[in-house]
Amino acid sequence: MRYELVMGLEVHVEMATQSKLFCTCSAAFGAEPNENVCPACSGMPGLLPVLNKRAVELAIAAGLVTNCRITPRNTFDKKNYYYPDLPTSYQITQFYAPICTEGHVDITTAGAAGAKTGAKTIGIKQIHIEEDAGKLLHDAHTDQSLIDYNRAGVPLIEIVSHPDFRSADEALAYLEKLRAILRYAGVSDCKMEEGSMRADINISVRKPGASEFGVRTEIKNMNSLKAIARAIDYEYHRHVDALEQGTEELVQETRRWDDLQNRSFAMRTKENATDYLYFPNPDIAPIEISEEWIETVRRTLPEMPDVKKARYMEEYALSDYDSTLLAAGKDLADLFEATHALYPEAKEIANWINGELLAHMKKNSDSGADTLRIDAPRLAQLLKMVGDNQVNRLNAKKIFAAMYWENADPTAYSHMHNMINETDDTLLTQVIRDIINANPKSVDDYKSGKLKAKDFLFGQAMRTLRGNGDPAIIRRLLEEALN
Amino acid sequence: MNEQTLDSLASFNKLRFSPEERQDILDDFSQLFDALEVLENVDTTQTDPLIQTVPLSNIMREDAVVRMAPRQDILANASEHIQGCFVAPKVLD
Amino acid sequence: MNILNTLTALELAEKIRLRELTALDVAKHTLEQIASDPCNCFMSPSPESALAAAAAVDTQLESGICPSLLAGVPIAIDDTILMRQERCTAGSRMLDTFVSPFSATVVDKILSAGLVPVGRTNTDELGVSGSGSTCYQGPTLNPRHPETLSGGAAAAIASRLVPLALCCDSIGTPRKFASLSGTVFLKPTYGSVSRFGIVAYVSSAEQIGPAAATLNDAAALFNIIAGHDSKDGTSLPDHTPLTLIPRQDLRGMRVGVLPYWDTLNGMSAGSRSSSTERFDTLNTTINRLCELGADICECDLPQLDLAHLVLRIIAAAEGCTNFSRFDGVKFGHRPQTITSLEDIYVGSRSEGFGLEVKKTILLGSYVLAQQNYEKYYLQALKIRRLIQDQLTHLLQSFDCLLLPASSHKPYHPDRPNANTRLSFEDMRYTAPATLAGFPAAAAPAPVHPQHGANTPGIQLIAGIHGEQKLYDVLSVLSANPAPHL
Repeated sequence: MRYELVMGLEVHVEMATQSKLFCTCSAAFGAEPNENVCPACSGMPGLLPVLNKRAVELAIAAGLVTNCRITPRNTFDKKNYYYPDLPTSYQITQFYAPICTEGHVDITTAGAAGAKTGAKTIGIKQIHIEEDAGKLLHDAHTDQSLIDYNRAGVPLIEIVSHPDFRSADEALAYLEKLRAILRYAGVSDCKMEEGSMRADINISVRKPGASEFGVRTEIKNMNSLKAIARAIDYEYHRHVDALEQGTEELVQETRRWDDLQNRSFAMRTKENATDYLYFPNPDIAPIEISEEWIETVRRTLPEMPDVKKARYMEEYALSDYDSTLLAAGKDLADLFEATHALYPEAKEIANWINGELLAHMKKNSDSGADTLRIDAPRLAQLLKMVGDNQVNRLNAKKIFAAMYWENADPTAYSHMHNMINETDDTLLTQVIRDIINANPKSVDDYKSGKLKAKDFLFGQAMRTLRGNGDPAIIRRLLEEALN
Repeated sequence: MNEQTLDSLASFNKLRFSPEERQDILDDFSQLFDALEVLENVDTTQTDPLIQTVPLSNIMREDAVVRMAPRQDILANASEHIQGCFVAPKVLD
Repeated sequence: MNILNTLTALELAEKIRLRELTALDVAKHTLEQIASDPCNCFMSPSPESALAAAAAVDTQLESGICPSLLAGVPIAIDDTILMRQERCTAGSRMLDTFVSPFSATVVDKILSAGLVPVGRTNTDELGVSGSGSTCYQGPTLNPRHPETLSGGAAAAIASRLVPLALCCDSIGTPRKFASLSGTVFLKPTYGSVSRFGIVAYVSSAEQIGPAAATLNDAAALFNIIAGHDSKDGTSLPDHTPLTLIPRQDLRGMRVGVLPYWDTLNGMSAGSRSSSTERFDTLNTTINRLCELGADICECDLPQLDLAHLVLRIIAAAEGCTNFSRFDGVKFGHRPQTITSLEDIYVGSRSEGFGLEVKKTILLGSYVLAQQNYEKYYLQALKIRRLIQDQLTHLLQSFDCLLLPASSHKPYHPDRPNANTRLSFEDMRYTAPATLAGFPAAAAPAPVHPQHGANTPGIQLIAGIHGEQKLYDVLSVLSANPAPHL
């Protein structure tokens, strides 16, 4: 590689609070425009900011799960600029005393051809609390901008990394890891498609071994992992082409990514404003965070994914692959553990979660609250039925699908659809005998060495049973009858 | 404060001035900054800035939703609104 | 109804309580008087809400409920204090049509106490200038000296249109105009009255205070508006209300005299006094204090001379970012022709703001710019701490400090630039208490009423929550004016 990619990420995460950061409006997603708005978050005079305690706690939690130092004395500052999505023409942020500093996140990349593989530590420079801005929508009819302030004032943390990334894979691994640990800690639901997690990418290139950084460009507000990968790839090549072939002059600037055209554009407005006139907001008293408060927050944190994964491998003898998948999402891990408490077959549960459940979840395009849909009691019930040979695996998969898509109860569904395995030995033996008697040619074929004939007989038996047989038992009885 | 600084400050603050006003401002500020020079002579090396005159800290509220005003009140002072949104000329990127 | 013009607020409230008068009649009479408004005190009267509030109080009183000592009394509210469903302009064309969807906490409190808001008074645009010349609806005249200017609330009280008003003191303007109009104004300890609902200017210093013709009226109103508010993040815990019982004398009280008085010229010849007699406010006040038993001593504050410069910087910085929300997009003045977003921003702000406000905005952004931040803004904040420390130190040896509330030079209607310069100079007198967050009261000097019409007032500063001391000294002084010579 003739040029090394150097990247830093600034990730904006909307915190999972009920109300906004400095006013009591709802912070919920999806309301009608300006429904969750008050005079404060629409820029009217008169209201004063009062800090949301839960936002501070969630920010502390974010700092703890990213191994940061928590700042003892916090202040809030005004960042001043004009833009229609900013109702007061300033954003309240933490410029001088961010709540967390100097942490790190460990990632592992799978490794594709040419890319680095293995474990890496990404340094975090700081995390600070700030307000989100409103949303601009374009009205095609009147060719105007429509402004919705529902999102204005929603609490954010901005997680600023050191420029430690060297590939798009690393960036994606980092974002997925951040999402996992922040969801675990209850800080945010980190739904990129809803905008509760967005990334700004700062990219430059340089010759390998160089100590200076190249010209840096920034791409803001990326909210899709795939788009991020494409944007990084594009920017890398744009930078390299500029340096090697002089296709353009690289300037330090903010650019806009157009996913449809698969390219970036220089932004027309001066996003690179100079001076934001940062100064301490006199309306907000300092926040002193004591060791006791930090400990209180720490005690509320659940077991984190890395620890959980290691424990799954140790305690349940699950594979690295299985443990990684289960631990990646807290809801999956919770389901696994709750199901295991009812039916202690770890490998079996892992298979169903990592296999069937993930497959159905992927097909579920509904990004609403609950894509998990399977609860521990029903899952345990189904697996017990499989374990007891009450239903065979093929039917079990059908039952599972009904559980997921139709909220079916496994016992009721299997009975209603006649999926219970025939277990009466006498009946089974009779069925097998009938099949053998009805297919003398197949029996002869089998006896003369054509093993595939047995499969045919097996299929016939299952057809007679309308699929409701335990394959293992059928095979055994068939084997006995043939020999 | 010179013409250039005035231009850049006016631009940042979204203000425009007539030539008379510009002269007024430059004169005024010239006098003011002369007067302000005396502040540099005060020894503040051992002093912290005073922003809040009252010794408060950790003023926070519980995370509860309280609606302050209905949407129509929020939109009532806007010169126009479309489908519940405030309106501005198209913002160029 | 002429007795209304001579009754204090407390006396008026008593008559209403005893049902000798109804709140509704008083409100109607007041509204009639406001309608003529020769001094241009009022931005707008509030007839419907006034009559509704008055009727509500009458109903309460009829059924034996008395909400407060001041129930039924008409009160004016300065136009920087928001009131629900009322047009609130803060003296600015930018907010010409702005109707507030909510009320300031102090407004809720006075309504609960049964006071009757009758109208909104003139104020310098956004509270910025203090020159009396920048309200977009024109200046207010000083009823005592109608060839000079005043603030809306002070003039309304001085001309007996209303006995009470609420005013926002950001840089000291209400104290100054109270002193020039022979009325009383109290700027409370920062944090003791809620700032929720003020059109913000100097966030780290401003306070809403009571304006009245008498000290007792102002004190009674203070007790109603003071108190902790969880909607204001700089609000102090509740403090003991003022006791409105004057002391017999001032024995045991110590008053420090700050070195301002050599700049005080009293009345300038030809402007007010009909005689050549020069009246020495300082000597009269000091003599009275001594005669009443107080210990008097000169004192000084090393950075006293710098206070107005420091406040100018801090006020500009805070004002600049408080006013940036006024951009014409969500509400407020919009220019006629709009082709781009920039048109709205620049047109709205250039047409909506007066020049003094624009200058403050420029100054604010200048001192906050990265390259200037430490030299001007931080340095100003540090000197502010020195001033607060020094005042705190002084107020350990003294119960309160005596100084003028202004230079007493007049503000003339046809000289806005001169008035602006004068206002900046007059900030010397009000800035120290503002910067430190300490309570300060402006009141008439203890001269015989015969001389009272033309005499400048005095100002007292006390320490945090020292309003009781201010009351104690001023109440004894006002009960015992100098004998007529």
